[in-house]
Amino acid sequence: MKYALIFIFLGLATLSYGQQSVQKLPVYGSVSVGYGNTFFSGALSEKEERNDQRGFRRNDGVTLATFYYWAPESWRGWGIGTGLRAFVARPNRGDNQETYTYNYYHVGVSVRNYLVTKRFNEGLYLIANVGWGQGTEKYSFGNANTHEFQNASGITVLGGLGYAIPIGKRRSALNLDLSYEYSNRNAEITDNSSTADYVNGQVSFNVGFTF
Amino acid sequence: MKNLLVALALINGIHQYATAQEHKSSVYGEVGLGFGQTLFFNNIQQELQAALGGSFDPAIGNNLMMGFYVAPERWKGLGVGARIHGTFGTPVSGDAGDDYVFNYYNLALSLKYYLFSQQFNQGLYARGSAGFGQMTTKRLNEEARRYIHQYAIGSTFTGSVGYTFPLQKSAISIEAQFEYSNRNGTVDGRGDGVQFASGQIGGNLILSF
Repeated sequence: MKYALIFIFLGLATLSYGQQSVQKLPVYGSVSVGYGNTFFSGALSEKEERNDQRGFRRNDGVTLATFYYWAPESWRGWGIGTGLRAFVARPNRGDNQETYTYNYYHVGVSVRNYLVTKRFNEGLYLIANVGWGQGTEKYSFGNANTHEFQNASGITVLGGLGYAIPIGKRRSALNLDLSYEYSNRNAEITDNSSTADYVNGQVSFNVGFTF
Repeated sequence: MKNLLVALALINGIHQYATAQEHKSSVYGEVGLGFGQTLFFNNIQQELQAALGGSFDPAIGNNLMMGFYVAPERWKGLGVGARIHGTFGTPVSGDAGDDYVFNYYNLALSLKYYLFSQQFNQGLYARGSAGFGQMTTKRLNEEARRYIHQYAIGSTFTGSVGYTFPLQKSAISIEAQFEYSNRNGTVDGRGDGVQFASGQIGGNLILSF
């Protein structure tokens, strides 16, 4: 009982102090869209090769990302944050009314460094993400009206180089970046004795705002 | 292309809000954890039966969320931002004897309004979000090594009410939320456009700064 009262007192004191002296941390929001191209490896590469032989085209699509960063001035251009980055592929159509569609995303930690200006959201920057996410794919066989689904989950790492062009009184900036990401996900497939490695890379060009 | 244009328009909208701010410090980030009971609506169980060969009653899942809001002081407690919300359901036994797992997430535009304090990140608030995302379900039998997957993509609307307790440089919030999703899936013999409607009622603990 005594400890409960002390805990409540300390909690109320903390809240009371907080209400009297709220200080805002330097947080930046960031949103972007882009164009990306996926490159498959391993089991997915074999599938891609079969698709190519049957008239399927490039595995491209749209990227979408939303992150926020904590970047105090004293960190001299460094920021660390979290968010999500997703990719939705353009449906890829081949012979015999077959369509291959897929999407994937990762949620994780992101670091940016504005290495030249030493000011966050201004000039040349490097970006690195590490995250977890899932990829899903669907094969639709139009003639038979049947569909095969597969899901995989695993890690993604991303590296990129970008440039931030300040807008207005440096309150926000237009961001352009070129990024490469690598994902290694595990898929459980019927009749496979072990999980299959779903591996893919992606190159993307992205445009967005950080503010 | 249409989706890309819509996304660009939305981003431009957020950017317009952002450039209207007076100080850099009016962006707030948040991360949160929670739990929720997934709800099935309409005839989703029949659709899952058609897609997976079996169905299940959903269990409680774990919520994970993050987001940011642009909230200048002169907006008097209103914030506009983006939010990601994911739920990972615990495995359940279904009506066909196999186990079933599911997860779903959405990426949303979000409004958060502090009704009484008129100051963002302090006091009672209401939140509304509209977004899109995916629900993935899997029927599995580990002994037989049989796995059947299904996913559906569509829109999600979320309403929340919560209370924020300010700390020195951050704040802790507790909130209750209700979520409704209507997603389109593909089923053998029926093709695209099969409706999978679900929702959630849950509670979250959120750190914002």
